[in-house]
Amino acid sequence: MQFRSIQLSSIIPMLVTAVLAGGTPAQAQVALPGDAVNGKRVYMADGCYQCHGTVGQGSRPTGPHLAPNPLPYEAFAGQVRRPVNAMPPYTSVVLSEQDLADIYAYLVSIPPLVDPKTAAILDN
Amino acid sequence: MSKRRNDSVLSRRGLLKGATLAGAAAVGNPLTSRAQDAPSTARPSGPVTPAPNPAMESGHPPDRPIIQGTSGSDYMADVIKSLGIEHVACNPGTSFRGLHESLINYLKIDWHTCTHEEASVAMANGYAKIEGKPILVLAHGTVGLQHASMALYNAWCDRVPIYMMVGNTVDATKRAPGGEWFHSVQDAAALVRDFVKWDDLPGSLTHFGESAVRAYQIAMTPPMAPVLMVLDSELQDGPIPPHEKLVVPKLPRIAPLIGDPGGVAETAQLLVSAANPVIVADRYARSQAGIDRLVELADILQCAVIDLGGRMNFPSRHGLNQSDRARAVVGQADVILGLELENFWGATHAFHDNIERYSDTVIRPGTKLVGIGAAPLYVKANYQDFQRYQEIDLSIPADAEATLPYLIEAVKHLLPADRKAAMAARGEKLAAAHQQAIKVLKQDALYAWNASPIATSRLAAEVWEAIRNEDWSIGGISSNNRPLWPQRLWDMTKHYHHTGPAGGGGIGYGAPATAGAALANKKHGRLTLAIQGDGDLMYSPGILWTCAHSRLPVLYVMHNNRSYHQEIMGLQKMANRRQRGIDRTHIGVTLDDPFIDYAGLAKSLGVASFGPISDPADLGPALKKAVAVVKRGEPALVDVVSQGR
Repeated sequence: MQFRSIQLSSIIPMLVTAVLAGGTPAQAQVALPGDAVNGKRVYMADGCYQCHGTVGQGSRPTGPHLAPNPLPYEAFAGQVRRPVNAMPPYTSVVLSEQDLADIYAYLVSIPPLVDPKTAAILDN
Repeated sequence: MSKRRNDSVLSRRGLLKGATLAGAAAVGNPLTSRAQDAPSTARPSGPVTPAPNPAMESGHPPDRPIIQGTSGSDYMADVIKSLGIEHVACNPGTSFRGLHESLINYLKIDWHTCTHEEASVAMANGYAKIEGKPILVLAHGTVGLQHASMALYNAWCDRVPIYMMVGNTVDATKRAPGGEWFHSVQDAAALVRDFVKWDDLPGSLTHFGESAVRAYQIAMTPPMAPVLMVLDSELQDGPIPPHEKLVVPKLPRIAPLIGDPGGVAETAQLLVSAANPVIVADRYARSQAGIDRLVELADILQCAVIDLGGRMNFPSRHGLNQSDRARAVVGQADVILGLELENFWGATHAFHDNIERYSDTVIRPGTKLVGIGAAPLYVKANYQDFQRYQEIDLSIPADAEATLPYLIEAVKHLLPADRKAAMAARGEKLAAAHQQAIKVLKQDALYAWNASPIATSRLAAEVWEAIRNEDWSIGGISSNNRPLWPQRLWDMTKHYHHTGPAGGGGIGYGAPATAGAALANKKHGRLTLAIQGDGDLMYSPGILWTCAHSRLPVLYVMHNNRSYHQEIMGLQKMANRRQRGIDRTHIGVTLDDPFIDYAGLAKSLGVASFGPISDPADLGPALKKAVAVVKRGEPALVDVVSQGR
């Protein structure tokens, strides 16, 4: 099953130099077409899920939620390549541009949050 | 008691005098007579059946008593009873067999068999944090104490009173060859002296009595801490010397140290004058009174309270509870009052674990810092649990819970009438922020609501739903598994609702500490539970058998993330920093291949079990069944395959 979403394709052509907090220029990012199936595989294999959860939900002590509704690609890629916080840096030596795009495709594919009514026990 | 003891000595002493077998006197000394025979030099021509050795078959040598009318360890048991100690947690050992026998037969104390000494001490730790007093832990002075040492260190860092006795055979001529030699030691307590508050090796029973009461008093005086008594096996096993007039020394009521009145008044002045005072509490509340006093102080001041979770300090749903937005609140503070806050530096700084480690202060210049706590009253040098030095303006070395009533009175006295409206407005603003934080929290909990492995937010929500109508208590908490979701989602108001994590960060605390908490909670009819880390349980899984054997009503809900999760993240950081990728960083930190069957493990140890559960829809029904088991007075375990954090 392929997840090459319309939302993703709309931002793929962009070439952006993101300026991150602290004034450090990020690497220029060329967003490639992403494969969500491979992205999920890489997301799990490369340990993204350990801090951000298997569906990008995040966890306060370890890392913010990534999905649904991930950051724009350029901001996402900038954070992965040159993190501004305690996150380990994933340079192109250890994570290719294609794998990065695939991970992003996986995050984009994650469905929206459930209806709060289905989680009514949270109100107790 | 002493009268009864003296009567007993007198009545039994006559028996002791005649305590030799009449028949034994008639037996000669075959060893002596054989030794006087000239050795034969002639070799036998073939196999020879050894001649009978009468020494091995004739029972006791002459003139050696074989029964005794009094026992030193009976007196020890009387002293232990006088301290109000109700339970023993213990893995058995020869070096304290005398006291063991006295406790079960003479005192008939409630006994809890543990399968590891680390579990014994952690169980005592969990009990003390709920009940406010120790149980007795017994162990070998060598091998047992080595097993117990990590749990003692956790209790030391956590300011918890542990009352421990270990056996040792001091007189080398009394040690049986072999095992008793490598189970004996010159100075048993040396192993743990860096992290016990006091220890002793009594040379007589009178010495024991005085030191046993002294040890209890020292352990229970803030800062509370473990103490250790090393008991000579001869002193335990043998009769009470005829000349020794034994009494049980009196234990005084222990009144904790209250802060200096001048310092308390100065603190009150700072608090009432501040625009944004903040109270940060860590190992503060020992009892419900501690929580109630902090609520009263915060309500008067209408100030923010941050509960760091070393204990249950402040109601989770109180509008002034700002624990979820601690950094923002601390950043705005002009006065910060730390209550039993040993890591003041950590509360006022952000630390960055990067290639170059560095830190930033997060407080405004000129913020006044005040600390009330007992930790400065007793500090040791070797282990570095005292944290980085923080410059503060006023340190009041005292017990914070006992000091708070005086601080409250001082604040009331100084509270200017014209400030009350401003304070009320401050409180309303904080309450609104609290409500907003809860709204965000519930939104966050929706992420991965239906995911498998099961999200920690869903896990916490389902457990809350299962126990919220019970009188419940979270027992021990795995060191790096602070109950973040429960503290945020659950309505916590009682001091026993949770008691904080392992003080020294030593894994293996959570499961046995929960068992100890269950022992304390049992007589109050409370349901004890743990959100139990898988790595933590595997340090001492035998505690599940102890729960079954001791009929402890306790619910273990496994947070089974199949890893030592904290360490995975640390390895990933190293690997990526060095640009080696993290595809191999699971090595050494995951608990898979094969997966551990915790439900099967629990079942084999006599504990009702459910799971493994991977589908969140199955969790609620399984928890309901497990709670029913626990309400019958038995332990249960639900294995939940979970997300990392």
